[in-house]
Amino acid sequence: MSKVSIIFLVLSIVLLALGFYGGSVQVPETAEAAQPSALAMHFSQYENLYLILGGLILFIVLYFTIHKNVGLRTQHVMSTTIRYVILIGVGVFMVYPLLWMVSATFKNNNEIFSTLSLIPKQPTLEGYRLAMTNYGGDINIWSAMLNTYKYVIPKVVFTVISSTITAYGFGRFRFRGRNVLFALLMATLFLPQVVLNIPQFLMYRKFGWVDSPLYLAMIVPTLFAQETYFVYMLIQFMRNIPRELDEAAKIDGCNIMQTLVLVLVPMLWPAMVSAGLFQFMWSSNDFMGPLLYVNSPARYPATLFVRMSMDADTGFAWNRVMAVSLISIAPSLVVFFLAQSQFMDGVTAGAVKG
Amino acid sequence: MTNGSSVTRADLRKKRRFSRLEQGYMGFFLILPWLIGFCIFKLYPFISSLVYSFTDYDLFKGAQNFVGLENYISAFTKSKNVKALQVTFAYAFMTVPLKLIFALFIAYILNFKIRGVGLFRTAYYVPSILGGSVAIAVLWKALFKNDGVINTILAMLGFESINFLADKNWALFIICLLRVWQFGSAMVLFLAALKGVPEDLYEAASIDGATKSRQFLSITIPLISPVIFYNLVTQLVQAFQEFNGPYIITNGGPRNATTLISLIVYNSAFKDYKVGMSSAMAWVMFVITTVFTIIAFASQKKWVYYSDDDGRG
Repeated sequence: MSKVSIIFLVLSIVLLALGFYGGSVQVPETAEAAQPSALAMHFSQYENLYLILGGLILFIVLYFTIHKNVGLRTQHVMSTTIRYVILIGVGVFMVYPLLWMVSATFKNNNEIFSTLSLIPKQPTLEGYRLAMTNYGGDINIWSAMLNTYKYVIPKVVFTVISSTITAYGFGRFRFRGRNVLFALLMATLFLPQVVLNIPQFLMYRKFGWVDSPLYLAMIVPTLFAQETYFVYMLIQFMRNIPRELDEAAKIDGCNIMQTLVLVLVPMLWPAMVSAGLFQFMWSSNDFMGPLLYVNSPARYPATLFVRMSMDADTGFAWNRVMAVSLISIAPSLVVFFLAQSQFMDGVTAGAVKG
Repeated sequence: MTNGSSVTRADLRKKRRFSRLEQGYMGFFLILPWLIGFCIFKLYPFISSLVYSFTDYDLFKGAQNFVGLENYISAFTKSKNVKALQVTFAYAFMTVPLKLIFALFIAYILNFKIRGVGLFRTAYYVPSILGGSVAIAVLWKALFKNDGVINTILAMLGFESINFLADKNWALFIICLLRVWQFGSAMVLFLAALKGVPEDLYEAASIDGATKSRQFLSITIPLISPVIFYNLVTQLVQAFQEFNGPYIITNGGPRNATTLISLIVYNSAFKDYKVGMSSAMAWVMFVITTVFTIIAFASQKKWVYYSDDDGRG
């Protein structure tokens, strides 16, 4: 054993000993009885912390010591096991909250916070039944969901079309001022939306777009390819499509738009689908947009409705709040699981190259 | 000889430039919608928020008088605003490194030949696709509230319960945790980059006697540095803008412990109707973000390694 591992071994033993000592301290019930010293109180209070830390260090020291002194094959098995343990441990941390949310929608309110179990003891649909009922205004979860997709779907369609055309212009053409404009485009990637929010709000209010039944304030900018990330992503993708294809199309007599639609779009399609999927997710989850531009409860989208139901129900009907929340993200979850690989490809397309 | 050839090359270049100009107007026409949108929805708001920041513009009265630097002075002197600056820095410097280290660590493990990579990758990615939604913020509140799930777990382990969201030392950490929990997208990027590192480099290094950690520092890190850089910049820009988490979960409390600048920007415009003050705070944030982005880009030369054959135009 090396010096370092001996030091850590000693440390872990000390920590464990302190933890056990803390466990053995008797804290008297009444205030009159002789109190243990402040130090003893400290160990008694943090007993678990010392035990966990000590155990962890002991485990790591033993692991490395054994790892060094065994054959290659055993080493391999040990490393693989540790990797799986970490992956599963982190996986639990990632997934448990979501599973808990699903199970909470089937529990009654007494059970929700009293157990950690994911399986409800007395399964009930009360949460969902309450989620369907009105809060008394002219909005319920279904009309809120409908409202959401009234702007999400146009946003997705317009973003994909306008971003593709813009990416085509920047990716395939040289013109006076192209480099300056491209630099501006890239700069907007780093421009925080917060700086623009208030003047945009004042401008849209002047245009009469705030609280419009058509959600104009959220939809119209997407007609102008204003979500730079998607333009950038499509330009990156377009770079990998050989220019010879465009030229061949030109020789065959295609005009510029025909080249785009007949030659490039079929090649770009996976990237366009990714862009559409991301826009779908981001717009369905968007909170700031509706918060600023939707005022009448009848036009509330799901995000605002969830917030409203949280404010109305916190403290008592958590199963209802959880059911409302789950319904609001269910379409996004379904879309994600159906189109996982497009999401992964989309994330990497924008960044890895360039 | 050399003279002659350089003349021809210059001629060729001139010719090529002309043929490019021919199709040039078409390209401009294609990007024109974006350019119009840029002027209306980006440039104009950008400049007007700078102008507002020097006035006392009121959301409803609308009257504006030039007040000079008053808003900016208050941004750096009023205790509430100074506190928001501190909290925002704490938030960014806690979440960005934690998220990147975590993402890289998990991607590194997933990059070993592991069965069920797809399953793990999906499980880790789901939170980042849903993380920004109100539903997840509500879930976070349910997890960390006083009688919430985490406290039930603590009680089982024999710890005392902690009122996370009402404790000013814990609340910010919980908000940070929500962002770190969404490390999936950064991880997917790292994983793709790690897969791109040629295996023979590792083989050569281990023949030369390099240890695993040495290989990681001298081969892996330099080769994936463009992706580290990309993640660093995008995460930094996003972290400085965070709004949903603190707004929904703690509404800036307890005692402004989670009031990020974005909340001040929102509250001063839409609760106090002080558009001028709000714009000034937004600009302070913009300048801070820009400074960090510029620092990141300037430091790029020192540590980001771009190979020559990656086809960057």
